[in-house]
Amino acid sequence: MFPAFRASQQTKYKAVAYLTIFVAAFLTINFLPGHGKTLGIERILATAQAAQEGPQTLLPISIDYPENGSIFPPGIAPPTFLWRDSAGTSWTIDVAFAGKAAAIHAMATGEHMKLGPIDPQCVADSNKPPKLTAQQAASWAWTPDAETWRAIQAGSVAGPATVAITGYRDGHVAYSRSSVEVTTSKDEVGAPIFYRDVPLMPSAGVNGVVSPLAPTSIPLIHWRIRDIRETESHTVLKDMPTCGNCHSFSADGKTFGMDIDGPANDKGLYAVVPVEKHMTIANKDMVHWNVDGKVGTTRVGFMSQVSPDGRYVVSTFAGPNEKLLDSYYVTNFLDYRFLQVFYPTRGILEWYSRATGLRSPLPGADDPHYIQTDGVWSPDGKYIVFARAEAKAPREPGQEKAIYALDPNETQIKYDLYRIPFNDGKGGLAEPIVGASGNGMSNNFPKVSPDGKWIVFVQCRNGQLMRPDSQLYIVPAEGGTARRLRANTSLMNSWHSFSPNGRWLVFSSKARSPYTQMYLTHIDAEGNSSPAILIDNATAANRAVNIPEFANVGPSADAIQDITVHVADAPKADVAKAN
Amino acid sequence: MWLTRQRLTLQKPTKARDGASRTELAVRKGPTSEFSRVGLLQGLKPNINSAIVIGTTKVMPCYKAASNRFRVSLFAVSKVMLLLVTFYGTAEAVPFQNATFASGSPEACTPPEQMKAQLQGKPGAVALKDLGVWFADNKQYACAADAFASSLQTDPNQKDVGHIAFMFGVSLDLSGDMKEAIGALQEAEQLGYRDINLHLLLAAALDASQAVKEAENEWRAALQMDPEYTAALDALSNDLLRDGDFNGVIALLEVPRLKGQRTPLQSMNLAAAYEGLGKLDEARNVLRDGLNTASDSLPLANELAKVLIALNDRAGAGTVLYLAGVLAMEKGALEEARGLLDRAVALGDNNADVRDALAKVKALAGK
Repeated sequence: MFPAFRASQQTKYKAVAYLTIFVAAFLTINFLPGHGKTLGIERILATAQAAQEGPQTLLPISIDYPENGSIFPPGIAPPTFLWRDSAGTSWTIDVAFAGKAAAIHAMATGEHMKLGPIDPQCVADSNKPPKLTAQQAASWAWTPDAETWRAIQAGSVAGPATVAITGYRDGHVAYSRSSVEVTTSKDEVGAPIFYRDVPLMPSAGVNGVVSPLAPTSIPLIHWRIRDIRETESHTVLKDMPTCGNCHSFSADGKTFGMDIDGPANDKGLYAVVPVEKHMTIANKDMVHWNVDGKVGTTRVGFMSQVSPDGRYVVSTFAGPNEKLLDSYYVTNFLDYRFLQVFYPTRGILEWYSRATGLRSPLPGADDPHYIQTDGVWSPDGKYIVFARAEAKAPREPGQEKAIYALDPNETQIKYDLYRIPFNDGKGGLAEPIVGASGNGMSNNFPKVSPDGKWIVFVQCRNGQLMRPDSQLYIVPAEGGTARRLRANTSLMNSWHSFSPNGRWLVFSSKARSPYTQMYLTHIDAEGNSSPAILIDNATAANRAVNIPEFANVGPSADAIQDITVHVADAPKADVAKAN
Repeated sequence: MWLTRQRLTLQKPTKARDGASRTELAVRKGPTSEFSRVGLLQGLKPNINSAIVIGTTKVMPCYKAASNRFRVSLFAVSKVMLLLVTFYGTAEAVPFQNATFASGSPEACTPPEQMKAQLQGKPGAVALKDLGVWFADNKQYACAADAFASSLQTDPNQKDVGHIAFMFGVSLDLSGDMKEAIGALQEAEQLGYRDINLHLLLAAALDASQAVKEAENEWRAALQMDPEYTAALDALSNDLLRDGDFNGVIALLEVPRLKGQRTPLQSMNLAAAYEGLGKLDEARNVLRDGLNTASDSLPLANELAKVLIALNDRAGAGTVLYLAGVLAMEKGALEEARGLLDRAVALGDNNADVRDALAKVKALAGK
């Protein structure tokens, strides 16, 4: 409509742009430290020329990681930025800060995203080597060096840093650009993460029965610990002759407990030991759940939790009249991506006193008409939050077998979250938690924040554990409106654990790979979470990370160097669970 | 006169003691041969635009093989039975090595030496099934179909009847008899056979037969088992788009799990759905993200340019066309490159890079 005016305006804009670039170049060369100096005068001139000759519109880049609004813990090892761009062939990264910190300019050499090394021992006919997805294969990557990352972190505490990625062709003409804002939290993570590291090698026996892991491969399960400030983890336990499952630490970080499947896979052992730099689990540390028939002979098999003071353990037991096999639904698949469905359908909560060596049903959570499971302690030890549903047989006669995760033929069960006073073991009235019950979904795996203010739990359509559709929700501990965490990834979100200060949540996800990885999210005082931050290099690219649990032992992973198991009657053959 | 193969109506499998169906037991029991192991149970992943690979054999998808189709008739089945009865049932008098029979196919169905013992006398359902597997392993799919049909007719209540019905359907499909294959695969489904490959094959066959609604159900059944199965997402979104079900396409493809992972076809289909609803901004975003994943996709670039023009972003469209033109030039598609670059110039994108590229294309074309 006004071509002359537009042409005139464009000329002015170009002149202004030209001038601005020279001023910026002058300032960069003369005043900015570090990477700003990497811009030579030739490059400045080339860039200025590009301002005149480049496209009028820059195409958007798809920045996949970190997501806009991400919050990083202070001191975390440098992350790898990932983006996709159809226009650029080389890229610059410009970081601008809200405060006075000097801007940072860096160049990406145009490397594609890469997978980490694999563990050759975990290669099997029943799994596939990790592979980049179409998105990942198209992704370009940049990992800041330690010094640059420190500068980015230092400059992004007071306010978000804007990380702009610009794509160039022929080295000087900008064709694409996008940016994300990232922040570094003032909240330290403050504790290492203890987790299980498993192969995904489902195995079909000679009789065709599928098990998640062949008995001979059980020693491949490792337990590792990670200080997020480091670039790798160290192994504290491996070569266990039997399968260990859920572990937990007391809130004070002084006591460690672990479910152990035990002889004949009866889920009959529990190890409770003091946390030390060099830990040893011996016969004297083993609790044999199944010797006391008065309160039921069998433990269902998971999620035993040490009380905050380390005096008690709460766990799920089948109850006095039930057999183990009648109390949980389990189906294993040869698909290594989701190789097992496992959840209890009958059971009661019982508590174990380390002082007396006795365990007792918890009144109010001991009704055989319900399955009562997933018990966790409030930080003061005064109440227990647990998942409850109507009890049912694991399978109905004639029920078709599920052949994949979320098969409608799975036994359907939807848990609700309840809370009950512990009351020195006398229990009380179990009350549903509003927002985490009666919502048509399965609400499970609760964890109470260390300040007692929040419960983060998993919601999925059916059952619990390793559900592809599992999403993390947060609800006030006394009940209220549940909110979906911003941190949820696109595939499986579970196994979460609060940091001792309650500001960080670690969880597992299969968003990037069928080989589960772990992520962090920041939880602010209002219960808002931030986009997921990958804890990179937690294991080999063909192994899975699960049950990540913060250990309140100080910030360093050196607090636990190794765990030695000296259990004389440890079974040699067992059926393992892997995830 | 060709007769249509008799539609098999078989009894539901009975339940085993542990509650699993016999069909499942057959699956659980595992493969019996390379054919069933590699081809049917695991590796069969039809691709809409490419050949199906079964084991080490590459064959065309059923609907692409229509020209090669030959019909296997009830007559042929009966003939197989007759021949089997003649050669093996009546006896001992007829040496096995002479047994060669013909199905409705041009190929001769010659059983293998090693199965001679099994096929002596009146062959049982298991022997016939094994024979079918052997034929299939040896790529004699029409013969395999006949053998499976004979097995099913010999004992409609046999243990793994659903699995055999599935193999029967697959063999028909691979031999080019799509119509009969659909019937057999539907029969396998009704018998309770559960395998993603069953749904994928059936859906592809139904699509090729223009039974779009039925095909959609099968694609959905496959996606319930594997929500990321690319071929199923491609095909189902095609079908939904063909139905004008724009919201259905969006519900299918606009999910977090697929962001950044969509194939170019899925991105095109999703964008088309948004365009159909007048949501051009969303269409642009989908196409941009899709192009960032598949930067060599000229259809995506063309569609994005079209949407950008519709959004009055002529400069953006020009840049996209320039980049597509460069890509086309690099691929050696000089005419296409010139067309794209000319369009970029026409849109006002006339910077030095565009001019240089156009000159280069012209020079190359001039050679």
